[in-house]
Amino acid sequence: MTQKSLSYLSKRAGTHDWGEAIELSDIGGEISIVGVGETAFTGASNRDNKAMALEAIEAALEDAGILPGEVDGLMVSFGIAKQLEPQDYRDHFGTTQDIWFSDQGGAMIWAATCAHDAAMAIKAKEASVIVNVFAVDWATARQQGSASPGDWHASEPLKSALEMPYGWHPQPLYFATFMRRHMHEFGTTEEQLAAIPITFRQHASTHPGATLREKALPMEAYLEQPMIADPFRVADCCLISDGAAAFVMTSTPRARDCARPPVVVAGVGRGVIEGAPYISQQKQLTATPQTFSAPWAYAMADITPKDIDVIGVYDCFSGTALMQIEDMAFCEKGAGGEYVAEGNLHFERTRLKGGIPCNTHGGLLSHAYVLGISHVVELVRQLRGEAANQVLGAEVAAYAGFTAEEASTLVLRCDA
Amino acid sequence: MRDLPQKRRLLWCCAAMLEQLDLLNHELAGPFWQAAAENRLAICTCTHCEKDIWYPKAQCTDCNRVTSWRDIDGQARLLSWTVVERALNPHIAVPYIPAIVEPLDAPGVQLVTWISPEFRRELVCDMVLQVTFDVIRTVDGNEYMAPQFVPA
Repeated sequence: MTQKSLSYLSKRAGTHDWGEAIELSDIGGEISIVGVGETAFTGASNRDNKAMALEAIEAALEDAGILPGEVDGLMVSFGIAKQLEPQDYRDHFGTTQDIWFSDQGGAMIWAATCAHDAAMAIKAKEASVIVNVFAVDWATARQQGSASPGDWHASEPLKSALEMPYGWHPQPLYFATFMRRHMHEFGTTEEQLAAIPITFRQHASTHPGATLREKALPMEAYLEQPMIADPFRVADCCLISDGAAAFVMTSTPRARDCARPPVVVAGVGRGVIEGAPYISQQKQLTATPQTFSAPWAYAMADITPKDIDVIGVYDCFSGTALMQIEDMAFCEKGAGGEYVAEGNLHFERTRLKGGIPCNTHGGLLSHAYVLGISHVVELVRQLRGEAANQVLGAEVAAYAGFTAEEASTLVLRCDA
Repeated sequence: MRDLPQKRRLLWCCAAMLEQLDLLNHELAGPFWQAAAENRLAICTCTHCEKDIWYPKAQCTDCNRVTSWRDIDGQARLLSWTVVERALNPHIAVPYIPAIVEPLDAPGVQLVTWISPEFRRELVCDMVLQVTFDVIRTVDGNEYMAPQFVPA
């Protein structure tokens, strides 16, 4: 397949006056995901972050049929919790290899963009087998009062000087404010919004890894929950969890020699709002930068939204999932409330039936808050046909990553 | 927790940050709070490009000249808000209403602000609000005048 130029991708992605796609070169088809692994996901567990990361890596390598000594690349997250370093890896596995290392991996948007960086590193022969891993112990940290997802936001100088005095912090308030506007502009209702946590909870109920698999969420129970920051109730806000996940990437030719069928990285996109990192300054309050990243990834993968069979959407809040589903063009902008309320996110509502199965593991709302990396793991399992809530005939998948001011898109497909 | 003022219950939510935060002398946002101390609403601007720079920056993003500040009238459009019902910020009494407003005479500028909860039933997106000034007090006892908004 010939490589697409940046100008072609840029043209396909389109232009907007409130943000833009970051130019990512075409790496479609070059690398594949060959192994996935996870720890158990829990509330406060006192587990060590690095130990969880190593456990997830062990599982991913076993899944791939790759020996620890064959790994020569490691990607982790910067700035979130205490992540693994190459020496930790060598010490644990008793190996001595050189390891190409990047802190631009992990979860959130980086669970998608790491695939682009990995493809570039593999192409440059800086590494050949790269593990992306993310571990988080925020449930334990919350119990100890030592760290929380809002810490970065509270430390940013202009947020602390112009937003915190008014109590616009932490993140639930940001997206509650945005969701309120969505309801005003498009008539989205509470009951429509409820379809997101309710559907994801249904998925969790039949997924062995989901922390909330035994807690049913009927509509009546949802509506009875008190508001946290209206229109968000508890069920609209992500869990706080302990756990880790990892996936292994290598060149697609090499992937075909691994233990499991390759899941090919077909496209990657990344978008950012004007005015980043201040989402209070976002000029389009009812949308997300997924608006910019998804078309870029679709163009790289040579697909349209109609070709996608299953998605994993960063659902830190129900409203951010709703807006990203719109921004990925699975329905008209503003029609998301009606669309999700019709049950279209359920794993049995395949594309043939007019749906788009979403967060079939339960998502950040009902599976675990590992910041999106388990969304990618779940999509790999879907494309291998081994998911707990298997989408029939799934061949193309997309992950929507999100930080707030940035979003990313990872298109995966079965090997041809 | 120390006693809260009866009228306004707007307090810093992150005590750990307090020693580093002096609003009046904040490197970038100081003029906003200095103006508020005189019951003025001011925003950062570039007089050369006649362009508002918000959030404030030391230099204009277009011409790189040093920015200055200009007073604005105080009428603003309510873009959106949320009624916070759970004490996510332990030093702020609930319910409270943070909001984002766009000054009518500074289109494109978005201010994070505060609306008194007594107006919660009156709020509609895009309604016009009027600035008002009132004291906020931090958990370490410092007091500042802060722009807030009420229905016009």
